[in-house]
Parts: sequence; C-alpha cells; structure tokens
Amino acid sequence: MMMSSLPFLFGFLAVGLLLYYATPLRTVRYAVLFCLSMALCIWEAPPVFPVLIGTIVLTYFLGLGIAHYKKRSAKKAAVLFCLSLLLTLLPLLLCRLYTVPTLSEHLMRPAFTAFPAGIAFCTLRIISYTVDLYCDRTDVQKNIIRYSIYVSLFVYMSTGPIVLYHRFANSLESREESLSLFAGGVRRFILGLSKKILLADTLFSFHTYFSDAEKFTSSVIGSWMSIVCFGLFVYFDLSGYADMAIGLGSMFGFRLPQNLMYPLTAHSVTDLCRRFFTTLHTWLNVYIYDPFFAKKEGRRVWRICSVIAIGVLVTLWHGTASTVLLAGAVLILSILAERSLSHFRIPQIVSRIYTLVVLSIGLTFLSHADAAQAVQHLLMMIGVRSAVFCTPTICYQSLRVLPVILIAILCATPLPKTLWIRLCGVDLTADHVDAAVEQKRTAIQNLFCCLSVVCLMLLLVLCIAHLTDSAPRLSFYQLLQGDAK
Amino acid sequence: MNKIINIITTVIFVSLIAVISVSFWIARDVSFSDEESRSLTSFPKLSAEHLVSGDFSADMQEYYMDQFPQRGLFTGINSAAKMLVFGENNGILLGERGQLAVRLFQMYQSRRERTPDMDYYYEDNVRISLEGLNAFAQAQSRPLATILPPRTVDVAASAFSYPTEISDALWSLIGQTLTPETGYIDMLPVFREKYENGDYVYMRTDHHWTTYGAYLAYVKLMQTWDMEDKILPIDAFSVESIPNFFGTSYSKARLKQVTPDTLELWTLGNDTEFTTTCYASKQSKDEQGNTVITKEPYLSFPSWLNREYLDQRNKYAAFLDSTHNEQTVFKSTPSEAQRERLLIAKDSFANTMVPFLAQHFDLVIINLAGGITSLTSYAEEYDCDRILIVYNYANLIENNHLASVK
Repeated sequence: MMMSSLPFLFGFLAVGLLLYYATPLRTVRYAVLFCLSMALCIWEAPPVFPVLIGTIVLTYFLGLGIAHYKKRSAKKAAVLFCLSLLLTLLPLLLCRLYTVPTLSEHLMRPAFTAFPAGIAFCTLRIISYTVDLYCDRTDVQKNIIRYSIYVSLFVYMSTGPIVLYHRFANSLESREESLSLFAGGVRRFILGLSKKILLADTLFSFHTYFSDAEKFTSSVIGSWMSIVCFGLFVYFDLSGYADMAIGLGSMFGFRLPQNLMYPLTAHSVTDLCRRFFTTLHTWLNVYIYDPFFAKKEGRRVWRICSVIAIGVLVTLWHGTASTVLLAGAVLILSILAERSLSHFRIPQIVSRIYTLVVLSIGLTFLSHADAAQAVQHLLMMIGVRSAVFCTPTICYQSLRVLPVILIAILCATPLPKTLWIRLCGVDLTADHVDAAVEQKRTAIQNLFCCLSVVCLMLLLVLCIAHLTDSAPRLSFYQLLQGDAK
Repeated sequence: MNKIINIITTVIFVSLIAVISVSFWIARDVSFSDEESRSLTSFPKLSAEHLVSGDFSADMQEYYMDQFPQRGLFTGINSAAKMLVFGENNGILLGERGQLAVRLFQMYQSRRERTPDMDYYYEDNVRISLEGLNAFAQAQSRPLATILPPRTVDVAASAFSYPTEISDALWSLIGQTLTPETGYIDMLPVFREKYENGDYVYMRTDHHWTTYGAYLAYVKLMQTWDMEDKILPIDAFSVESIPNFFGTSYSKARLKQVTPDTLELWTLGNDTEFTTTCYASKQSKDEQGNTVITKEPYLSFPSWLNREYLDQRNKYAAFLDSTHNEQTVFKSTPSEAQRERLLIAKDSFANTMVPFLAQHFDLVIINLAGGITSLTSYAEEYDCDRILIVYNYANLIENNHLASVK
C-alpha cells in the first residue's frame, strides 16, 4: 500500500489517526505506532514480515549486548556479527546478488517490490543504531517497541528519509504532538501527495508514451522529452514521498530530516549527489567516510579511493542491473574529473550545463532496462540514430506536456517556496510554525496564509479525484527493483 | 492567527478523511456503472492465500477506486481538469462542437507483451491482415467489396489540433496494399469532406458512424457494384430520431458537459416484412464419432431493430440486437423478383448499413470477431451471390481477424 493510494488515505491513515489520538496513554501510543507499522508490512509483503520481526528482535538483543559488555573486543565481535548478518540479509532481500528461488520469487512479484526497498532502508537504520552504540554516541534503547518503531516506522518504511539513530533518539523519546506540528504535517503531506500524483505520475505517463513511441518513429525531440519527463519524474517522486513521510511524521509527533535539497539547481555533479539523497549522503559520511577515509584524507590516492568506494556502494544499493551500474559509473567518473579539475575556475553557467548533461546521461541509463538500448537512445538524442528531428505527433504530444514540464521545472527550484514564504510571512510547511514570527505579519500576509490553505485543500481534492480514476503508479525505487520497466 | 490557520488546516483535513472513509465503508456497493457501462469491483475475497500472494491488496486498490463515495463527482473533476490542461482524457480527444474521438488504441501483438495504448500501429500486423484479405479476394469467384470504415480521429481531423500524420499513413498503407480484387471502397476522403462541410457523418460521443454515414457507404457500395440505378434516394426514407445517445467515447472520456448524439433510424415502407434470425452453432458427435455441427436459431425478431435497447444507455445495440456471430435478415413476404443474397462479414459498423442493404438483398451476416472458420463455406451454405467485408480501422489495428479469412 503506497502512501499515495486510496486504501492508504481512507483506510490505513484514517484508522491510524483515530487509534493514535483516541489512545490517551503515551506508552500505549507507541504500541499503536508499532502495530500500524507491522500491519503495513503484513499488508504489503507478508513473506517479509517474519524476516523483519526476526531482524528487529535479533539486533535488539545484540544492541543490549553491545551496551552490556565492557570489553572492547566483545563489543567489536557483536557489532561485526550484526553487520555481517545485515549485509548478507541486505542483498538477499534485495534479490540482486543472490538468487534464492523461493524467497526471491515471492519478492520479485510486483506487489512486493515496495518492500525490498523498505527493508534496505531498515537495514541502514539498524546499522546506524548498532554503530552508534559501539561508538558511544548514544544510549542503548531498552524498549523493544520503541526500537522497532525506529527501525520500521510506517511513515518512512519504504521511502526514506534514512534517520540516524543518535540524531533521532531525542525525537523518539520525547515526542510532543501539537496542533502546529500536526497542521504543518498536514500541509507538508498534501504538498508531497500533489508532487507525486499531479506531477510525478503525469510526467511518468508521458515518459512511457515517448519511450514507446520510439519503437515507431525515432525523433530527437521525442528522445529528449522522454528523458526530461523521466528526470522530473524521479525528482518529484522522491521529493513527493519524502514530503509525505515528513508530513506524516509530524502528524504523529516525529521530526524527520529533509531528504532532497533542490538537486536540479546543482552546479556540479558532486553537488548534485549531495543534494539528491541528503540523508543517504549523511549516512554514508557518518558510517563509511568518517571511520574509513577521513583520517587519510591528506593522501590523494585515498581521496580517489573514497569517492570510488562510496560511489560503488551507492550504486549497488540502487541496484545491480547493468544500466544502474553504468549510470553509477558515469556519475563516479564525473565526480573524479571534478576533483582533479577543482583548481581551475570554471564559469558557473558552464558547470551548470555540464551537470545537466551528465545528469541526462545518467537518467538515460536509469530509464532503460537494457544498456544497449540506452546507448542507442543517447545517440538518438544527439541526432545520430534518429530519423527525423520531430514528427507532428511527437510535436503535438510535446506541446501538451510542455506546461507541466515548465511548472515542474519551476517547482524544482527554491523559487516557489521563497515566494510563498514572502507572501505568507511564514513557512507553512515547516514542522513547527514559530510564534515569534506572528507579530511581524501584515493582514495581507494573513490573507495569503488562508488562501494557501484553501489552495492546498483544492490540491488534495484534485489528487483524490485523480486517484479515483487511475491507480497510483510505481515509485522510482519500485521501478529500479522490479522488472516493471 | 497561526493558530486559526492551523485549526482550519487540521479541521478540513481530518473531516475530509473521516467523512470519506466513513461513507466509503457505510455505503452499499454499487455493482454496475451506467455511466461507463461496465460492472464494478466488489469486496475482494479475503483468504490467507490471497493475502500472502499480494492479490488482496491489489484487489483492494481496485475496490476503493470503484466503490469510492461520490465517485462520479471525483472522476468528473479529474476528467475536467485533464481536459483543461491537456485537451484530452484517457486518450479521448475533445474537439470543436463537443466532438470526442479515441486517439489511443491497444495495438495487436502476436507476442504476449502488454503495451499501453498508443496512437501508432504495428505496420507488419496491419499488412498481414490486408494481405490475408488479398489472398481471400484472389480465391473468391463471387463479387467482393471491402469497406474499411475509418475511425473518428481520421474523419473528424479538422475538429482537433491533433495531427493527421498517422491516419494518413494508415490510409495510404491500406490503399497501396489492397488489390483491386478486394473491391476496396475508400471512404476516408468522402467522410472527411462531408465532415468539414458540417455534415453529421460520425457520432460525437460514439466511435461509430451515423446512419447518414452508413448511407454514404451504401451509396458508394452500390456504385461499385454497378447498381446505381437501384440506389434509394435520401428523401425516400422517413427518419425517426432517438435523442440522448451517449456512446462509447463518452463512457471512456467521463466528461460531463458533452452534447449527446441523436441516433437516427431510417425506414422505408414497412420494415416488419423483414425478419432477423440469429443462429448458434452446436458441435456434437454422431454415432460414428464424427463431429457434426448443427445450427439452431435462438432469436428471431421482425425488422432489424430490437427497440428495447432504444430506452437503454447503449442505443446503438438496437441495430441487429447488438453483436451475434451469425444472423440472417430475410424478407418474409415473398417479392416478385428473386432477391440476390449478400454475405456480410463485419464488425459493428455494418449494423447501421443493414436497413439500406436489406432493401436489395437477403442478408447473411457473419461477425468477423466471432471465431469464424471459413467465409466461403458460409457463402456456399447460404448460396450467396455477393460478399461484403466491413471492418473498421480500429479493429484492423487491434485485431488480426482479417488475416485468416478464407
């Protein structure tokens, strides 16, 4: 059940909110959250459920063990055991490196593609907890319910953001539901839902149209439109789900970190990767870069090694399909090139264009299931293999999607948000609207605030209307994992 | 002020979620949608097996979509928004004068790979169908005529900003591939010209031609068979108009503000002297173990109209009582001259041609999509003098029934 589906909105969420807020006791509310998360897992992928429960219980006791043993070597052994367990489990569950017929057959079914990603996110969270414990960054979590909520809270279960335990522990222990947090969450959620349904899904349907049309006529414009639509789909899909997760988190009293920082405005590929999946980037920095590479930063070889190692990890985490690997290779090579050319001053306009070009190449690989097709598509984009520049039908279709693309590009920059904050005098999607800002606001700004709430509700109605007509499309991660391409 | 805004946000959101969820679970299931003329999903079967396989959650998704409270309102909002932004919804174009036209078709594929509906067609598949028809024509001794009615999107091109590139390519492919033996009658230029003059040749909300459109095809057919002197003039017919016809394109587009079509019934004289009979073939084994095919009439009605359908939503089904695999339309009162027999191998477009053709011929009507074995054997069985094939462009793209006609 994806967060952008009718059963989620009018079944799961409705029941969840009712149960949660009808429960008076805080400790019981944790149990409600736990049950909701497990219910979602059972609903979505029943075979995964025992694996998830098993992993949670095992790593919980390992965590207790790490905290209990005073001896460094014993701690180390426990951490290593935990990590090796998770790292074998991770690819197994992603059914990428190993093929276990019975389990992977289950997991490969389209209905289940949501969860391998969810499990991968869970694994990163467990690693974060275990390593944090080992490094004494945090106290041990003695409450198994709270621990499983940290690992598998339904709001970020299958989408991210990836929360680091030592940063999240506070939010987990001392949550405070409030009206302003809830309302901010609602606004954020609606914004995310609109991003996913109105922009991402629409763009994806145009992407499939253009890539299918290639079988009949190959045109330069068509191949570019296909990639532009796909790129914007990826951004709005991730950003939409991240906003929905953050919004839902707020509704239940959690504060979750930002996941995307306007990647399309990046001025270099390094910047792009940093902005693209911020929480994954942070995770890698804290748990891979800092312990293994940070001390040796002075040596040039190690710098290159760190880029390659982290790049390979990120790539493998996204998939082992040949096209995913190639996309990863393109990005890693560009980052290495940027590092070696960093002492040259390059005009910003040039570097931005270069970033977009590399991004388009990467996206072309990601959008194809077959590497040879992707290369052909690239050739088509530069007019080598395409028969014509544009055909009337492609032109018609492009003109239809153009307004959506322009709106999407505008929304992928910080501009609308800045404008919105300027008009309303306050960031309505922030998880906590500051009381101090209130005094400074004018009547017009208040009016705009009310107006924007009305607009958001209209967006919600539009999203519901869209959902009654067509089922939500797969998310980017589901596309990467399943063979739905 | 912040507090007020927060309260407004929360109250609207929570009440929207609550009201919809509660009314979804309270409301009784609707089993059939008249608007879309299809049956709606009922509550999915709950079993351990379904739950584990993931079918249950997929079915639940559909159940929510089909039984959503105020579903008509929401889908209406959605299609209105899409029409506003894209000028089309669900692959249905909205043109001037409220003309609706299907743009995307499910292409026929021999492989079992699912492709989404596209505006393109597989040239190879269309060519195979056309060549099948050529081969049939080659072997046929009876006079043969072929009418391939174009789609609305081909005819009403001037109503849309949609390019005619693909229509034209398909049209010239047909024109170039079919041999003269097939007696191919090219209707597209005629219809386009008429449509541009503002004539009502194709329905606005349905994919079929109007009765007038069928009349034009009839005139062309009679000219091809050198029977011009027998063509019945338009004013010989009395026209009965059935208003408020919402057709297939309307059901798919789900757009509320569309002017309905008028279904015209053209009659000449007393049409109850004709009888339509539908036959079902049954396979059975005789004493020696050989398969014997017996034919039994299962439905018979005067004229060619089943007037019950005229009060229902799908009014077009009144012609020949919708789709049957094998039908005859014979004149019950014996006429002075011996009437020729015409075999029509068809899709639903031919149904509106029947009132005209029945005036000259005894008709044997075979549905091409009904898994026919051999047209020639039908022609021999009924001792037919002529053969007419009516097969729409959309079927040419979506099926391959023509490829195997014998």
